[in-house]
Amino acid sequence: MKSGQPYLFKGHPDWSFANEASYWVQRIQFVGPGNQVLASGDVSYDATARQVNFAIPSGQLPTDKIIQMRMMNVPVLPDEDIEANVTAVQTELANMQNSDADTSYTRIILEERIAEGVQRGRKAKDFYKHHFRTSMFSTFVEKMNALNTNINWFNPILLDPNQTSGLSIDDFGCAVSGNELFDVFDQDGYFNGDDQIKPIIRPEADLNVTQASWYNSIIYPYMYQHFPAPAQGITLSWRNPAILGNVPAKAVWLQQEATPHRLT
Amino acid sequence: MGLATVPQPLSSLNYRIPYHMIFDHFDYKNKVANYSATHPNMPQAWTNFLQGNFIYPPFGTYRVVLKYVLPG
Repeated sequence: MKSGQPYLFKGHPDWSFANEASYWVQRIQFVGPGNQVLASGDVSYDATARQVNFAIPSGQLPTDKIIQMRMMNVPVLPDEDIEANVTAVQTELANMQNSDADTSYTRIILEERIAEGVQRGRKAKDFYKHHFRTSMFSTFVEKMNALNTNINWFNPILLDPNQTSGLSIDDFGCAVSGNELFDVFDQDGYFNGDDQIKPIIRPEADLNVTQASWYNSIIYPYMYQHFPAPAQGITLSWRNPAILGNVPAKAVWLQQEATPHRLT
Repeated sequence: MGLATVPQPLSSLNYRIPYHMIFDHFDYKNKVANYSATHPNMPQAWTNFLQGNFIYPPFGTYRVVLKYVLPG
């Protein structure tokens, strides 16, 4: 699906079933192995936000399985009710029987089946589908607790790009390993053609927990308690503080030495 | 349909806050120095900042919170 295709959704004048909208609803289904529908719900389209809205099933999808998500046009009446608008009118034309058990004579009944209005056969049909794999874990906390983060590392970065002073400061962190890591949507987000969608996992430093209260006791009272001071023109110009914050607490990130997976 | 076994890439959590803070320090210090040239009675805390040095983080524990934000 391309971003912003409102004609796929009910309510748009170019929707396929716009002229009989009351006969159709739009649903989302999550289909598991064996084509089993595991969860379903309503789906709607917000034209202003160019966003499809639906409830993500909670506790209904199995862990570690490939699931198909599909959005469907579904008839209000199931297909077997195609004759719901048909009325049967029986007219007895001739009856020479004395009873139903009397087979000597023929009883002729004319049955007229009168349809009120046009009733077309309607079958549910998907208009968008894709696959994803559910996590091995039921919750994000469960997943994170299963990761191994015991191997620490540091990496000195030279502060002088010309490398004349040799002055450096360390990046540091921990290696992350486990049976399930992160995919591109978790880690990087993606560009949908119009907008850059933010990653699902957004790391941020908790500066209340630094060794020996380094930030709260030293750095904050020394520098960030007083600056920026926009009225005096003392603001950052080497970086955009809107990205990482005036205090750069968002300068932490997950990194993988490969392109993150789309379907892990 | 089956599940492929996907090799897990080498992954890490990176903490680059000291790097950004020391460059903030350079940036602010340059601007405070320029400010002080025309404002000799600037706040004492600013003077202390101008005369001080950036203290490097000691080896130890630094916490990161991973927020899981569903789209929409």
